[in-house]
Amino acid sequence: MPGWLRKRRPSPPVPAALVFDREGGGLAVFPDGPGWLEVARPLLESAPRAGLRVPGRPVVWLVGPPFRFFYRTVGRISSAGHVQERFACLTNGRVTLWASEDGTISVHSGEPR
Amino acid sequence: MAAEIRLHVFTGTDASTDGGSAASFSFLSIDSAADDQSARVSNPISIPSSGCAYSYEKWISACVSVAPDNNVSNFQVWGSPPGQAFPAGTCWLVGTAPYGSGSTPTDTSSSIATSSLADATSGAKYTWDSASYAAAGSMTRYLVMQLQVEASASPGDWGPCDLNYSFDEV
Repeated sequence: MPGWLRKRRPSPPVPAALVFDREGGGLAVFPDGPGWLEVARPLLESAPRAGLRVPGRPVVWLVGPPFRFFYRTVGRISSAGHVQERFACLTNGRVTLWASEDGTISVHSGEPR
Repeated sequence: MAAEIRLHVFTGTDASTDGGSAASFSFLSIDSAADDQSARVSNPISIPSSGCAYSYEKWISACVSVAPDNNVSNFQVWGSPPGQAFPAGTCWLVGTAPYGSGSTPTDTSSSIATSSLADATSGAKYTWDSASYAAAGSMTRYLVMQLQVEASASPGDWGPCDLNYSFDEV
């Protein structure tokens, strides 16, 4: 069967703001930099639903609730030393947002592993 | 306030001697929390002519040094990133035991550390402790580790292989 295959690109880590959509029960992610446009463009028209005042900017919706929020610390220890990094994690079970301490956010599919 | 977790190494009878917060650790042919290069050079694990040789078990627990707002839980470990395999002829073994019910570390085949850390990845981690802890001073289950060395191993520095771990905080 003929078809068209496209390599799925991972989401780049981009600075972003999170806004709750109280009416729709969702969460909007506004990247400040480039990226996610393929995902975001079809959703742009939905932005006013959240009362957002920045039309034309990319937005990604994380549909919920329920949401689950927690921090995850990832550590590494070896003969070379011991380091830790802390992330804020928000998930609806299907999509997970990870925010590092420097404010960058990345998106992964599925539950946090 | 964000929780602070420190890793402690335990040695001695019933793994009851707390070596304090560890900056790193080493597999040795003695029961010691020493983690420096000179300790590794002075106390190497000899490659056997046949069969397997073992380091002394390394008993580690995660200590809650600063309490979380609610609790910490879901402690998991995994090995080096994919593609960074452990040196040939060696196997990093792991297991767990309840804190406070330790056994004296042994340099014979561990009855606790029986799972290969190489089988645990960031996508399929090894469960260290699924309980939750709220109070400062709490200690997780021991993570018991041992280096298994086969006759096919090459002598020299084993290298800085990583033990990765994670825990969740709410």
